Amino acid sequence: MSPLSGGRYGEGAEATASSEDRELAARFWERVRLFASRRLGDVSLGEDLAQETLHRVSAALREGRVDNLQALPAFVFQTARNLCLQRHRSAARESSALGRWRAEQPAEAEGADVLQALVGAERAAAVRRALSLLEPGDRTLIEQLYYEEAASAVVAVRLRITPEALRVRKHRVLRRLAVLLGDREQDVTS
Amino acid sequence: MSSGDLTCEQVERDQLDLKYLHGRLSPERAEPFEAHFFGCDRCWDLVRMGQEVRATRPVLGARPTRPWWLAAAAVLVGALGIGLWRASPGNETVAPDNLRAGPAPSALDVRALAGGTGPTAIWNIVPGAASYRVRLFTGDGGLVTEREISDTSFAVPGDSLVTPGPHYWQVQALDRMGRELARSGLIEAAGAVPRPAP
Repeated sequence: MSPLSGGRYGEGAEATASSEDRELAARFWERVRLFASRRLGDVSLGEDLAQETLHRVSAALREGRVDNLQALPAFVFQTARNLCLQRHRSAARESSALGRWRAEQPAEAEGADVLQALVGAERAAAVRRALSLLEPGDRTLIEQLYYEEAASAVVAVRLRITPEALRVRKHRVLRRLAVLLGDREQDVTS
Repeated sequence: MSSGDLTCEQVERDQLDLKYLHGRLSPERAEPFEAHFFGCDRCWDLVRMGQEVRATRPVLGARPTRPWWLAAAAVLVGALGIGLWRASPGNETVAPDNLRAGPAPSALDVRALAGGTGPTAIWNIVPGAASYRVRLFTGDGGLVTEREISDTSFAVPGDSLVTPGPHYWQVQALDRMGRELARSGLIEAAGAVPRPAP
């Protein structure tokens, strides 16, 4: 789903959206989508809420209700947070009426697991390819931190490095992944 | 509840990005982190990239089995220790059967020493071991300390043992993936706090 598509912005919104709206979406869409999907435990609800959030923030910017652009991230966050709270309260009121219907639906992804559903198949495939190109030691580090979910202190002991060295190495590996994915240029100093 | 008061240094130090992705942050701790990455591109990149890496988890076959395995092992050790060692509440500690019979054969040979600073355990190097998990229990099965280290010795300060009576070491050798390679029996610690006279 595009942040500019769908009913909120009207038909043909992507063609007519202002550059400010596009900048807003480029900067915050993924963050709000992740935040809302995790809070609501559902990707579709999260995307719907993310659109609503950007719509409201865009309106606030046009109406001059955001005085300090430095505070824009906090404003976006609070808007998304408040909308999530409203959704939770609405869901609680609806739950008794829809109880039987909800019980018949597949279990929604919970908490952290819903985040995996946010990544499309194509992107996941690209990340897998990039992971396969890492050095074996770097891939092991990634597997232990992100697959096994081992604590950083434990991984540091296993690799016989300090926790600080592990943090540096984690950053280096993630930067390398970003380069392999084409997300960033090769850093000639790394 | 703060919004965005977190710093990148705190995120790094506490590895909040990993804990967030693994669902290990309470709502109270998650919210300041969320507020932070809304405004911080660097920390947002950690979350975004970490999320994408986790999304590839099933295909590379390294399912996160360790967390439940570790929890199950801890429950088993705790249940065995408490069940065997507590004859009844308030009574004198009774040495568990396995200690009376001597330690079970193991590739991990643990020796207890009364070191200069306090009880010390030393053990042999286990081939393939990347780390060793060493635990010290009280006589009634309470866990005094647990560490995962790369050395083959571990000492606790004598004044840190407040429970009188025997204490017992147990050591596990772990490979680089955290899987157990060998486990010692329960070895009585030397130099523990003596039981007060009746």
